[in-house]
Amino acid sequence: MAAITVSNLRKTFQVRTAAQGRIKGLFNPIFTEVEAVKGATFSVERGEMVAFIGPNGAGKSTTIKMLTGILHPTAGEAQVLGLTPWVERQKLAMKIGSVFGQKSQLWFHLPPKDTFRLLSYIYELDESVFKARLGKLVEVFELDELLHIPVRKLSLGQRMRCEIAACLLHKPEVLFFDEPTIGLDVVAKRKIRELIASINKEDGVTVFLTSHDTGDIETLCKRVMVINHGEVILDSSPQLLRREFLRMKTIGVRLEEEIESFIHPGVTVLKHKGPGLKLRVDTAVTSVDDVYAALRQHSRLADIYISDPTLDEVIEEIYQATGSITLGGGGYR
Amino acid sequence: MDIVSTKAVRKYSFLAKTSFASKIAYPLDVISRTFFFALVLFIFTQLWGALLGADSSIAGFSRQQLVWYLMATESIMLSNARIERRIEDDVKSGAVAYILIRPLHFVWYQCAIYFGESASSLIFNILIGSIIATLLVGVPPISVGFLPLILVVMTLAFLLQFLIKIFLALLAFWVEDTGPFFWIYSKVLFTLGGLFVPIDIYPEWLRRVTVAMPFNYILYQPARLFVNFNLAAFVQVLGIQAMWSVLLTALVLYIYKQGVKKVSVNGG
Repeated sequence: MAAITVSNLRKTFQVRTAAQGRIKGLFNPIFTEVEAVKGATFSVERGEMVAFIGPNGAGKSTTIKMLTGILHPTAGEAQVLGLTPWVERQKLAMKIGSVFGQKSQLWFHLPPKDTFRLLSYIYELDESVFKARLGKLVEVFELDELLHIPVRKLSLGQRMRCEIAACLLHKPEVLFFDEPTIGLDVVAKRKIRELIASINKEDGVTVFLTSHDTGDIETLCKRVMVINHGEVILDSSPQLLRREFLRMKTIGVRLEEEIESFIHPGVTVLKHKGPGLKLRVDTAVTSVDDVYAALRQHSRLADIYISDPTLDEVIEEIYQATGSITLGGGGYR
Repeated sequence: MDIVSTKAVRKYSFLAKTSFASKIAYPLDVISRTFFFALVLFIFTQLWGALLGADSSIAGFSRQQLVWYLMATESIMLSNARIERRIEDDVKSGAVAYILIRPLHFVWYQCAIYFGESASSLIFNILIGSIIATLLVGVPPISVGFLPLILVVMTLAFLLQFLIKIFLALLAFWVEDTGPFFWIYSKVLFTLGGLFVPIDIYPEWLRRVTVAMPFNYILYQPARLFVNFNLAAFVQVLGIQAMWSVLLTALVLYIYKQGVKKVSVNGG
């Protein structure tokens, strides 16, 4: 069953032309239409964990705002948990949760338990339901010692644990995570990822994640949607994404004898120092096997490694291949 | 509307309670503001002392009543939470979204926070103000039995104040900077609200104009009832405050709806 279905969702903003003078603009403003989302179509199954990625200004926030009912689309349709978000926003709000990594929902000067208590009223939870739910979250998220400390005294990692627990109190069926691990150190990041994975597994919550951190995407999601201008330009798994889209491989070798140079079609030498070589191989032109054979003609190999490019490189490649991206635009609106 | 259900009432009253608690988590901040209040009260008392003899009066107010009047108006004025900057920022940055994503109404959410924050300062201001006023001119001529009624009028005064402020803040949907509106509003409140002097000393025509507007129901009327309680006047003030509240609520909800529509349809 689908948790989210979106078809031909479009959103155009009217932006006042900045070049116009202030006074003149006041009486006779000239508007330019900016198409933030043009025809997004996709669906997300219940219990799925999906990464939604794209550069700044790709239409991620705008899409999420439409899916949560904050923005009206210019055209198109969307259903979240069977509701049309912008028509039944309040009803939907009871069933979804969200964490925006850069915007805290906790009361800064108060301990987290006060925010939890407030949320229990906001989401109209019965006392017994709230107590049971909080008890469980405290256990899973290890919040026992944090509950009574003012939020301002918590570390970012501790705070994020509280933020995520806070968004789960009302047992949402769909979660929107926007950069949940931003600014965290390695250990805290891993902890947060584990927690998100366990929520998804245990409660069967649908997770819609946007992140610039490819680590988040690779460890959490089985599905990645790359979007640009709100159009899904690629819908795949992180692993497939790398394999299909980037035919480049990196080969590092240490030869037993030094060689002068290595020339082979489809191979770029990235680094060459003594017996060590780092090569970029385009597998559309040549194969890893051919490169290996060519190297063996020069010398026996003392060591070899072959690696995939990082997801970051893949995404960069996708944007370059599909062209027409406007980097660094948009942002929140 | 969901506003009337008990769950909704609990929701917003707990929100007010939380914002109250959050505000007094910073005691130093509260105390420093109260100190400023004490200073203002002291200076004006000296001023009234110089202008008035010990037993003369202005427009029926004795020097003692004037000091307590000022204590009341300044308490309301200085306690009212400065929500305008935050609302304006939220509207402009699009952070309104973080509130809208919850089952809350933006206007009543802000209202609850306003009342919580204002109450946190009001308690301290009235406490310190009463001590200072007592030290300066003695205990006021008011019976404790009327205080709950005064509190009702004061609550409505804060509601009116909130409605006017959120109305001005919501104009941020259309204009770049609402700062000038608030500057004008505060000056209007100083004069037409009767912050420093009761509006009774104004010329008759100006007094009439003033009474026809909502501002004097924020400062002058509650403070006058505080120093000189009168049941008939109380009922009248309450009625007019209620009328203004209904009118302004309708206006605020309308303008909010237009603003949200503008943002959600046109993107701000």
